[in-house]
Amino acid sequence: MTETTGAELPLTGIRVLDVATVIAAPYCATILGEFGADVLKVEHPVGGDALRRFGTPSQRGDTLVWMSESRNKRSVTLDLRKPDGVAVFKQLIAKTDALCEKFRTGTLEKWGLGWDVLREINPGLIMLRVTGYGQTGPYSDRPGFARVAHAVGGIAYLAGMPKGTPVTPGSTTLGDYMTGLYGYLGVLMALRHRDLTGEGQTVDAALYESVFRCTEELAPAFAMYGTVRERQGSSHNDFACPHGHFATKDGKWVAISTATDKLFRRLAMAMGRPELAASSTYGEQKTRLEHRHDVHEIVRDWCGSLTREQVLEKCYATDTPAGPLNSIADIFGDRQFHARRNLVAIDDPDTGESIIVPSPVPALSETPGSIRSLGPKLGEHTDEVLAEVLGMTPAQIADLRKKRVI
Amino acid sequence: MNAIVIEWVGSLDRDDVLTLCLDEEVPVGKVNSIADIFEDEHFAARGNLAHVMDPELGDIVVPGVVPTLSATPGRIDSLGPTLGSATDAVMRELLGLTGAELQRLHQQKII
Repeated sequence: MTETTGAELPLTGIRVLDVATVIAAPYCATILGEFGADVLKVEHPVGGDALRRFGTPSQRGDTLVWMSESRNKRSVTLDLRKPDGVAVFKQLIAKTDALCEKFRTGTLEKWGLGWDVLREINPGLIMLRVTGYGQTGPYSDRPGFARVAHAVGGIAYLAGMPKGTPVTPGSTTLGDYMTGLYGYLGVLMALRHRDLTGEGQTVDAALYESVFRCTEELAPAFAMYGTVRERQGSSHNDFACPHGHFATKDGKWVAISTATDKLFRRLAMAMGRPELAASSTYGEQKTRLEHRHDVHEIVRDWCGSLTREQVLEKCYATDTPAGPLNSIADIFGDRQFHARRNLVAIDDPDTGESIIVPSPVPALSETPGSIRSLGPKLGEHTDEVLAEVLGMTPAQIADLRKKRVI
Repeated sequence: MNAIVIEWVGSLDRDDVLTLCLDEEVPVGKVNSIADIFEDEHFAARGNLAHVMDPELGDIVVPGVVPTLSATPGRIDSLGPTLGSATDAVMRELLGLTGAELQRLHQQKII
């Protein structure tokens, strides 16, 4: 776990209700929890969050991604389809700072838990609403997943070899994480506004918008010049050359990114061919872009003649921006990841199984985030939360359980 | 399984695939190019393409602000500034520098 400085975490005292599922909105709650918020994961009593079943199971049965991404959360079961469940939820809302939800548009409204109702209960409430397409607009009632968001938001179109089948840009959950981050930003800003004015609000985050927002000059360049960027393969950049992925002799890969003439000079030095950086050869970006194929061939041949370690050593020696294309196995052996403690091993108290997960980022100097526990078992904290937060008696809790509300 | 889907999708136009999938609430979407995005009614309705008037360049289209906050939505007041366009104003407002002091810093090429 992350070392502590003794200072209280910055979000201590903030209570978050996470009624969402899978990754996007829950990831917002995860980060809030790493930095001190009390996150209550509200789940359906039967099966709970589907994330418990997506991916590789841990010894306990819940998946590894559940164990990792539900870190620090407390699991409370509640059936929002039953009136008694709605009543308990409203009581919890009165004691909540931020609610994270990702139901299809209109679902909470159908259960009598729309924004107008919740705001009435708690005027300072912040409600993060994550959907595929947002709460408004003609597609707002369509189901949305990150893969579809990558496509709609314009980045799947760019991924793949020129004219080839568009491939997954990065990983299938990239858009979920991006939207969790935007949601997190929205909640933090809304908390500041609430602290200043007492007024809560909704944060409407759409998966496709998070993706589209990260497309640098795509929109202005199309509007101004009609430029449509196409798929760019593994080693193409419109503005810089060489800039790509290159195979090494030992069957591995390196990334080399020489965005400027100065950086190309360093690469030429690393290659032992400083003459390549002369203005009469390839010293200028314009020339390199015009002779892109030739320049790439030179770099490709050089990389192919050496092992990955050798290529990287030579690049590092001249400060050329380069790095290995790490598999997860490579990452586990990487001393930078170790030095930064990017991987932490945490034991599941039930099975004793040690689970290695990514640690909180970014690194705050005075109040670094922490992982205090892995993902909870379904309903592990239901009784504790109902008693502690709502002051319910054991008899009241037993009654709810008998009615299958919890 | 993939072969079945590939064959089915390949036998239809894009819009027909979308309509048939959406009728069954199957998560589906176009692999949009930036040209497709500019024609998409949902991007327009959500204000995802923000038109900002630049005093020199005219109308520039950039991605709008996300996420959408109901009480305090973000906005784009101006595009990227020209180099140093706010230097004097910031030095005056934040540091209380006078005209003579600014002139000296300019002359010494510190600002």
